[in-house]
Amino acid sequence: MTLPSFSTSLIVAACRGLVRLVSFAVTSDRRAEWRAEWEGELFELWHRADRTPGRYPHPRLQFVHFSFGAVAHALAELRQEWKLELLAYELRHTVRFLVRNRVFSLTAALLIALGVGANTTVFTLVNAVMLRAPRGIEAPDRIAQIGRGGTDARDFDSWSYPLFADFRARNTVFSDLAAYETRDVTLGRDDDVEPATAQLVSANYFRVLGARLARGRGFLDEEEREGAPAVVVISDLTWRTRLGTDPSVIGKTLAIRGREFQIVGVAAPDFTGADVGSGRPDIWVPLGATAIVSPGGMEHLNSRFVSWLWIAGRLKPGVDARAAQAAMRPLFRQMQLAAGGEVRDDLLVVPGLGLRPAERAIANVVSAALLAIVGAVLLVACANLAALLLARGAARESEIGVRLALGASRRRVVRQLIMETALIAVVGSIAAFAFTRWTARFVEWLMPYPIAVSIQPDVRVLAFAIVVGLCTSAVFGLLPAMRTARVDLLSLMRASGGAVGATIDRGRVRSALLVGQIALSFVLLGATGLLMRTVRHASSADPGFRTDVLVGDVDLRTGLTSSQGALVERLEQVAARAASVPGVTGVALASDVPATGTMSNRTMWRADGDAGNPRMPTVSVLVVDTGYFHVMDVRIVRGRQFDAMRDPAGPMTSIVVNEAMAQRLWPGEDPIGKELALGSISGERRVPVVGVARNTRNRSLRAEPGPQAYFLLSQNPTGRALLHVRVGAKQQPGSALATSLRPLMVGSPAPRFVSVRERLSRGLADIRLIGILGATFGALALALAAAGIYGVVSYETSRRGREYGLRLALGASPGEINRMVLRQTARLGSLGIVIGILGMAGVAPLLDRWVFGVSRFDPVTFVSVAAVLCLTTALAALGPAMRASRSDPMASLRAE
Amino acid sequence: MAIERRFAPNLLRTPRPYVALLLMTRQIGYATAGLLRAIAQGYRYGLDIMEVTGLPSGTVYPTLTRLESRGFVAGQWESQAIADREKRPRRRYYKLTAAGRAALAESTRLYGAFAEETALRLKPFEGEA
Repeated sequence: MTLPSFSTSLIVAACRGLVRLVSFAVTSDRRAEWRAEWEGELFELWHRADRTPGRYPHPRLQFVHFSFGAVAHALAELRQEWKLELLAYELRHTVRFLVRNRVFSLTAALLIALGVGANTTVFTLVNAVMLRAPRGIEAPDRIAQIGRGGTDARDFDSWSYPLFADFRARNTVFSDLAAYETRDVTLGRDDDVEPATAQLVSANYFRVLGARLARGRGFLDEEEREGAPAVVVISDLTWRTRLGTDPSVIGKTLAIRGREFQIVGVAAPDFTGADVGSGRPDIWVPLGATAIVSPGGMEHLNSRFVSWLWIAGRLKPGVDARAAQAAMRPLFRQMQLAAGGEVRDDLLVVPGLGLRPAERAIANVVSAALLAIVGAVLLVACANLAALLLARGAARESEIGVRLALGASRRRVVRQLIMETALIAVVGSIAAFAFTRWTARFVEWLMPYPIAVSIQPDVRVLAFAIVVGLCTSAVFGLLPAMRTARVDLLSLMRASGGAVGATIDRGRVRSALLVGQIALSFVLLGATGLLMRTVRHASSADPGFRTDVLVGDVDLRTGLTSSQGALVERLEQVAARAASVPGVTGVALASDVPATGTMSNRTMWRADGDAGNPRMPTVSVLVVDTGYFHVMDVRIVRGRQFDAMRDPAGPMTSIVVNEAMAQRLWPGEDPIGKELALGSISGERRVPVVGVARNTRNRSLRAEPGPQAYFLLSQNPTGRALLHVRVGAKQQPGSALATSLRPLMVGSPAPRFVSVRERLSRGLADIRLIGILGATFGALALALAAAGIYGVVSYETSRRGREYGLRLALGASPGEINRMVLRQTARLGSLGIVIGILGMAGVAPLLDRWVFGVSRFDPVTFVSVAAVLCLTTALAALGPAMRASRSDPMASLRAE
Repeated sequence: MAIERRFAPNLLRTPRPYVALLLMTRQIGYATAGLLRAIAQGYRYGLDIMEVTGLPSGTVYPTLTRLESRGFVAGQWESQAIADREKRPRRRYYKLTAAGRAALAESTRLYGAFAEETALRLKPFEGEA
């Protein structure tokens, strides 16, 4: 065909390009015609444009405007294809298909439910801890926390009570401020005493937070003052468990540290306190009762120098956290100037009531690790699903072929297939969400420490589940759908009947999916294995002190006793009683188990402090009795240990330091007899060093020993200590110990004895959490992978049944067929393991934060994980292999 | 292709409540009425219909496609010989089907004389006038 020249001007080229571009929105079977029609019309308009002046300032503009119509036309074509009634029809068709193929649909939905369920479970926790505001609080987004930053960007420090009172009285940006701090207490009296968590709060706490009370009232302003009547608000949980859901509970009393408190209110069930990072409070008491709740503590309401209260406030309308910080800083500066102290411009206002920055940093890392773990599980589930869809697609080739032959476009076939997957995904996701309530509780139960949030799944979790489900089904459904729709009609028609399945080779993709599953399982199990090995290593490693000693918490503090010295005497009586139990070979008292992160820090410096020796702000302090060094096998390398005769009860006269501290403060000198200066509320106190103890791990099991000082218990009296009991070999005096201590511990919770080793591994809570969840979800991934291997291999063998029959007919033995199938699977399995090892090389550096004492490429972990995977693969392939070896040679011969 | 195009009108006749609901929202509008009328009067291809109705290309072509898929008009490519003789690409001509004629009658009943006036702003253009 020869046409007159269709001007090659830029405008024409652009407009034709536009038409060509948008034509891709038109179904492929109509595209050529559609394009031809538009090209023809463009041609005619171009030659006619000169003749219709008027509406356009330039005739060429009409041409451009005309070509825009192609866009609208193409969009209309798209709409045509996605017509609602057609979709409704297809949806009905899809539902019918899925119901008819129940086994397939349920298997696929189960796969999605498992993969998505693992994710929603972890997301529920992440959501509860990190994203959602604590529950039961009115307009939580209007609440902000005030803290004090330090040198570290993650520092967020607390305040003293007088500063809180000043802030409250003088600030202009918060409508009101509340203060709170969490403390351990004991509830009940005599034989019925149990440990509990109390929150000391300002009187306006419930009002500021807008927390509802189920019964009774909150606190009155006068109850915030010391000496006010002792009142308490109890949590819903305490009301149910301890007070038996008593409807007339208001006005009754509850013993806290031995003192009677009058119950004035019961909090609403969903209120779990303002502090996500600490435990869920069982009771709330006003700040006036601080001395009772925390006897012997340094927290005095009138001390400006002890910072212990967290402050949160409700922002005035129109003020955000940034503006509040800008307004609070000058106020804080004024207050510091007025007090005549050091001026530091480090006040911080953080929006929301969630985790504080340091806690958030930890939570971020842990959540990222957990989400990565469940992400891997989801990938395994999806690879499984994709393999299932591919196998299913192969079985449906003839159906799809008929539909294509009758004129359905490939696009519609693909759409139909995707709709099936999407429907399965939605059902699976909703099922996953429905079970999240229980799975989240299960994971909470697995967790080595409690969290102070309600883990009820909410709308955000549902949305997460459906989005994850749909996205994965879109990604993993598209490829199988497109492959399925690529049926070759000619070969389909030529091959009649049963041989249809052989038209397209999907084997390679399925093998790739299988290899991927094995590799992912390897990485998941390998990483988990490394973490578990770390925990094992850490708890068996030598921290420098004995780890087979039993430790129990003895808390004799009550709100009644005033003399700390008397408490120490009682502690010593308890220790003496424990020593008299048969089998016990040594007893000691100490404030903490080192390296579990519970030791307190004090500021210390050389009393003859020259300028070259700066203050040491982080000296870990362990308060011990005279028997400690012997019982725990901590050797004194210089000087002497504490001695009841030479170090009498009373003011501090002696201190023992560890080697690291001696090295830091007196390098190359003999520290014995040198004086240490300690900072305290009342100023500086000088204490001579009497001994140097060998270094032990003290900050954590991971970190090298830092400076540490030992104080003597009788010179630093307290009512709470850990009773350390050393027992002879093969002795189990646990119950004898408990019964003999019982009479001395009336009014206090009974101690539960565990070994130091156990305490140490509790200090690795974050590793254990990730390890335990990794193992749980790793097992899930392994089970999924096994099911996937079984599915792929059995499908493959059933497809090749005729071939096996022929081989048997030609003289192969069943054993050979069996071995052949196993060999082929083993090849894929080992490929998966090799890729998994490479994957581990990529993942291992991310684990450095948690893995210590174990090589990144720990051979034990790698070999055992590889063995587990080999075994799983072999077991999964065994059944199909046996079936293959039993193929009927006669049937194959007849078919040929 | 064939199966879908033929399939759609069948679906529209299904006495299902939701299909009826859809039909109510798909009644014939002014533009469609004008298009039907233009085709009935012998303006047979896109550019002509566009000029005679004064509707923009973004309305005319999609409407033609829709009418064709519902079976109101039938499109047909002219023969290559004619196109070659006139030294231009082939045109796609549209004509009303029986259903299209019924729809036109219906639209006349709906819009009455109004349709005569506005929906079909006949404007004789050179060459044919």
